[in-house]
Order: sequence, then structure tokens, then C-alpha cells
Amino acid sequence: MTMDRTPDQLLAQEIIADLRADRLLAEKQMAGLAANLESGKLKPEDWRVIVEMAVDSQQGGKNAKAN
Amino acid sequence: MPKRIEKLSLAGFRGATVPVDIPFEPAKPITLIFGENGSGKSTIIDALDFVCNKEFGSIVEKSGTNPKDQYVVSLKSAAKDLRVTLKINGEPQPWVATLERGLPSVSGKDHAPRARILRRSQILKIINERPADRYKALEGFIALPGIESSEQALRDCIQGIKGDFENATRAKTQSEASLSDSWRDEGKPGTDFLTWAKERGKADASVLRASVASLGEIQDALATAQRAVDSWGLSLKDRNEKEGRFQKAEQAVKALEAAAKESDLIDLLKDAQKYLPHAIRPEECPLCERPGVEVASLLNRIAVRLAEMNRTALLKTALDTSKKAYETALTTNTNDRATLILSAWTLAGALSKSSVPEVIALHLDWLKFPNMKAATSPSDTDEVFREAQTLQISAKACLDPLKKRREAETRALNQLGMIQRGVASVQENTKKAEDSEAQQKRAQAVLKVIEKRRKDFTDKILADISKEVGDLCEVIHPGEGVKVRFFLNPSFRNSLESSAEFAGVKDVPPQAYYSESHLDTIGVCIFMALAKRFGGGDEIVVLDDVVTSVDAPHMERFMDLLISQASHFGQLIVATHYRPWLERFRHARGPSASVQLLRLGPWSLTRGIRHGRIKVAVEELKDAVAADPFDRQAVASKAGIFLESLLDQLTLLYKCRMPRVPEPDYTLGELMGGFGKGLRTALKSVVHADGKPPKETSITAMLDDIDTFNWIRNQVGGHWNFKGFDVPDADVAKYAQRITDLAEVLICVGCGSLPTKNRGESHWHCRCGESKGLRLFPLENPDN
Repeated sequence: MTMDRTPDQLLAQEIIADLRADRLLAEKQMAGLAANLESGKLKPEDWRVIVEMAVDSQQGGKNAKAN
Repeated sequence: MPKRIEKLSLAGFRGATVPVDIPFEPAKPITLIFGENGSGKSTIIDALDFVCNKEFGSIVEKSGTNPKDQYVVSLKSAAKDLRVTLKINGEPQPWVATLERGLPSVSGKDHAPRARILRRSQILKIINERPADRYKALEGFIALPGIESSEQALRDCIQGIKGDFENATRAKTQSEASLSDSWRDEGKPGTDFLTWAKERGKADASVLRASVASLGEIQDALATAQRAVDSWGLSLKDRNEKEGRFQKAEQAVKALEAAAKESDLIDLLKDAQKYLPHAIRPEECPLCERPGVEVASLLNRIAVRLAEMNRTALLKTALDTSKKAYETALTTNTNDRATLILSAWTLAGALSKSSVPEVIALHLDWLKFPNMKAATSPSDTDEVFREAQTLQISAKACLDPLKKRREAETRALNQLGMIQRGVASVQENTKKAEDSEAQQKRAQAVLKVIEKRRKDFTDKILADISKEVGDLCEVIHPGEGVKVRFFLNPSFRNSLESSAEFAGVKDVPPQAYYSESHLDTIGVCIFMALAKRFGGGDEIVVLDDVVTSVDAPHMERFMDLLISQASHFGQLIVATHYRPWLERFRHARGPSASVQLLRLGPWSLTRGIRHGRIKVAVEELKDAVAADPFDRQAVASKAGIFLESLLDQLTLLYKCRMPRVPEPDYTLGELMGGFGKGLRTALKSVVHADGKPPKETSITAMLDDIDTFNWIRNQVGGHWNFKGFDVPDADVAKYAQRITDLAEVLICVGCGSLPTKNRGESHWHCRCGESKGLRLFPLENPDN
């Protein structure tokens, strides 16, 4: 038997897939983001770093979507 | 073989007052734990909760059971001895749960398998409770605490970025206003204030700063020189005064030098002053021995003369004091003079290298100050001193103009600094604002994705669950149109609303219209739908005494539902005190081949939980026949009851004509009589096994044969009867043997159930697949 996945884990994967598809965040941020996202350990300052890196990165910067 | 529980061992846990091993059959996907109330069912389920989920189980919801760690321990047992061990087949090590500091602690590789446990109290919460409590009952499936926390952190982050953007914009605006003011003060040169400021800001502040420093150096030198002159003047005055006092004192002392000659006389007078009061002949002069000396008068005169002579001594002391004061003043003045020369020399150095107009305007002729231009500070001579004084006086004129120039240049320097800082601030804060704006847009785009995904995720879960619940309910309540919809109330946090469709009316509260049995089964269906969706196919799903109020047809369909859904879970464990459920499996009304039947005996403090394997009826009958000593009464009775069960099912299946009675408690004879000639002739079973030709068996002869022995059931198995005593054991055994033969023809070996599934063909199917299993012919009763 293996452990099942929690709703948080399932949704985190979907969110990561969307963020990756929309290229909203820097790719190097994606690896550990799911675990932090689902565990609720992300703090505002963590998001700040993630967003800054996304804006700074060439890849993310070109594909930024404005609301 | 799928990984399922092999053994659950309990020691010191709740009802397990004696260590007990509960065996499971991993080959079977369903375990039915049957036990009357108080037999230990909840202890076993709570033990699973303890080791799999680190939860205290059913006592959590019971009042008066705090602290939980105290009441989870068996009576007369210690917390340190509590142990729940879970062995899964194929796993090398078991998971062992103990109590550590009052909390469940599980040792073992990785995590123990997850167990989803549904208790009756939860069903009530799912159906009847307020939306918030309903949410709480199901939050393990639908709650997203981690995502929601991260989402809120992102919102807070966006607020922070907005704050930074506003701060940068405000700082930029302030800097622009300051620059604009300066630009206006300057008369608005150029096109705009920022262009002007940038141009002005290019100026090299170091040149201005060096000029201000140079001016400051000259100013300081002038001030120092002025202070030196002032100081020298004061000390000169002081010196002259001290010198005057000294000279006066000196003259006064010289005037008394004559008195200094009488110093021997002073000694003589002092001796006489001592002698006279004690003289033997005081009226006679001690030197010339002449008489007539008046002692008293003489002593007075001596005293007067000695007083005058003491004044001379005081003057000498004053002379010494004034001399020292003069010498000190002289030294000070000499030093001040040297300081004046040094300060003038320093001033000369500052002036000589300065190109400031105010200094040039002094037109200093340095040829007149050769000593002041010397490389080192000159020695103190009158010539040098005069040069120094002259220079100081000559340079004094530039002090005020220099001060004004320095103030003007300082203001200019400050303004340049302000402009440069202002321009830098505008540029820096413009960039900050742009960065913040870009970050804010990005963060909001990320937030939008998360919000939408979360909402879609929850909505989809609830929509899927609602549909799944409807599908599951349709199995139990076919054609009744049981439809329940779940949705989160957007106005409240963690509020799970439900609505139902009843008799074509939509959006009614299900608890208001559905029967208790409907609500029970709906609750179980909700739970199973959620477990199916989130279980990943390998969870242990446990139903703890969840259904008690359904009638026989619904119970049968509920059993069918569990069996059909079991493949979606790793293992399905059903605990019940409802004996009909057990008996249906025992009598082939369910697929007993895939269900482990576990019976719990009466619990006692000294013996703890007792359990045993439950045999299906045919197995039990065979064992009874083979038992030594042979219990003829038990065999006859069991055979008759089992036959009744088989015939009851067949007569129902074929809608046989039976006598109309208030309660369907038919006798064996009535049941046998239900088989008309046509059905009795047509009845046959066909077994389809993989790779083997179908095996057909006619049931006609078997029923006819059994019919001739049925009196044995009553006379041997049911009554005190002399005729029955004449029946040999062999005939009783034969009777039982014929019934087991019939059972083996009617019950599928593969699934362990009678064929009762109508798949629209010419026969009834068992629960095996399409191509194998047992088929019962005909489909319809030819006698009807």
C-alpha cells in the first residue's frame, strides 16, 4: 500500500502545471514550489522572492500576463 | 496479490484487555466483522485509526473521555504497554503504534497506510448537521488548508508590493517637488525641472567642496591668528601689571633694608623680653648694672619696636610673591608671542597658496614677510614678531569677504547635493515603482491562477461527488431518482451546503424528505464517493456499523454496491452487528468468495476480545456431516435451514406461486411446492470455467430426490419424535449430502453466490465475469 495524495497535493500539482504553462514563474522556482504550496509553508516574503525572480528572469519577463 | 492487512495485533488498547491477534485474509478485498454490541468491533476499528492515522478513534467524539490517551488504554493496563501492530502482506516490517507523551506514535518504514473510517456519527453529520459541521465531517477530503494558507500569503505579499509601489511613488513625487522648487527658484531655466536638475547634477561637487575646505582653512588661520594676537595682548597687559607690582615691592623692601641691619637687635629685644619678667634685680640694667630701670615701661617699648620689625618681614614675603607672579606672566606672554608668530606663519602659508579673489585683493607683498614665508616656523625675534603682527593686521581685512564667499559656496554645495540626491531619488524610485508594478502584476496573475484552480478544483470535486453519489444511490435505490448536490456556500468560509431533488422538486433539503434509510445510504455513498476520488485505489476503507435501518431488498443492493465498489479501494472493512447481513453472505446471497467473514464473540474483562472465522453454510454443513461424533439433530437442522435458504432464493427468483400469508415465513414443504412442473423440469445450471467445456447439471432430479427426504429435517432436526429416532444416521447424512450437492450445483465456486443477475439473456448470472461462472436456466418461470 502507498500513501494517497491529499487534496492539497493534488491541487498543488494542477496549479504548478498552470503556472508552468502560462510561464508565470521562473522554471528554477518550480521544483520546490509544489511542496511549499501544498504544505502552506510559503510566507509573503517567500512569494516576494519568487515573484522578483520571475520578473527578473528573461523567460518569465517576456511572458508576463497582466490582469 | 494486492497489499492488504495480514494481521492486526492489539495489546492494552481499549477493549483488548488481553493481547489479541486479528487475522485478515489478504486475498479477499472485503472483510466483514460481525459482532453483537459490546464485542469489540469499535476497538478494532479504533486500533486501525490509531496505527494508520495516529488518531484516537471513536472516543474523540465521546464526552467525558478526556484525556484521550488515558481512555485509549485498556482497563487495568498501563500506557507504556499499549501497542497496536499492523502487518501488511508483502511488507517486511510491521507498523507499531504506541503512546508517546500522550499521543499516538508509529514506528515503521515510511507512513502506515491511510485508513478512511466512516462511523455512524459521521453519517449524521454529513446529512443532518449544519453546513459548517458537514464541511468539518468531510474536510479531510475537500479542505485545502495548505493551498489556502499559501494563497493568503501571496495576497499579503501583493499588499506588501503595493505598499512598496506607493512608497516609491511618494518618494519620487517628493523628490520631484523639491527639484521643481529649486528649478523655480533658479528662474525655470531650460525646458523642465528634471532636465535642468540632471544637467546641474552633473557638476563636480568635489571642486566646490575643495574650495569650501580651502576657504575654511584660511578662515580658521585668520581666526587662530586673531585669537593669538588677542591672547598676546592680554598676557602683555598682565605681564606689565605684574611687573609694576613687583617693582613696587622691590622698592619697599629696599627701603627697609636698613631695618634689616637691626636684625641682631630684634634678637636682643626678644631675649630681653624673655629675660626681664624673670630678672633677679629687675631695676638694674643687666649690661651696665646702673639702677633705675623701669621694667614695665621697658617691656612696652620692646613690644612696640618688635612689632615694627615684623612688618619688614611681611614686605619681604610680598616681594617674593609678586616676583613669582611677574615671572609667570612673563613666561605666558613670551609663549603667547611665540604662538602669535606661529599662527601668523600658518596664516601666511594659507594665504600664499590661495587664489581666492578676496585674498588676492589684499595685495600682500611677500617680500616684506620673508620670515613668514620660511619653510619652517621662524624663531622669536623682534623682527619676526613685527612681521607676524603686520601680516595679521594686513590679512584681517579679508576675513568678512571670505566668510561671505564661504557661506555662498556652502549653499551652492548643499544645493548641488540636494539636486544630485533628488535626481538619484527620482531615478531610483522610478525604477522601484516600475519593478513593484511589474511584480504586482505578476503576483496577481499567479494569484488569479491559484484562486481559479482552487475554485475549479473544489467545484469539480463537489460536482463529481454529487454525480458519483447519485450513481451509487441508484444502485441501492434503483429508479427512485435519488439526487443530492453539494456546493460550497460562497458567502461563508468552510460551509458545505447540500440540496436534493425529490419527486421532481429541485433544491429541497434532503433531510426533510428522504427516509432515515435513504439518508443512511446517501451518507455512506457520499463517503465512498469521496474515498474513491481521493483514495488513490489503495486506501483501507472502513465502514463502522453504518447501516442498520434498511429493509432486505435495499440491504441486498447495498451489499452489491459494496462488492462492486470494493475494487476501488485497497481493502474494504465492514463492521456490523446486523446479523442478516452476515447470514446473507453465509447463505450465498452475496459473493462470499471475496468476503472474509470474521466473528467476534462476547467480550469480557478477563478474556478480552474473542474472534473466530465464520464458515459459510455449505462448509458448515459439510463439517457437521464429517464431525465425529455425528450430531444427527444438528446435521438435520442445519441441512433443512440451508435448504430453506436456497429454495427461498430460487422461489423469489422465479416468482413461484406460493400460498398468500401475512409474513413470508414459508415452511420447507411450501417452498418445495412452489416449484411447478415446468420449472422443476427446466431448471439446470451450467458452469463455465476458463479453458474447459461448459458443465451442465439438471436440477430436476436433485429436487425430486431431496423432496423424499425432507421429513428428516423435522423429525430428526426439529422435534421430539419416535419416528425420527428410527432414522439411521446414514440417512440423515445422505439427506445433508443431497443438500450440499444441490448447493454446489447452485452456488458458483468462483464468487460464492447464487446466480441472481439478469443480464438480458436466457439465464441468470452469478457475480463472476461474462465468460465464466455459473449460469442458471431458465430466466423465466415457465409455469407463470
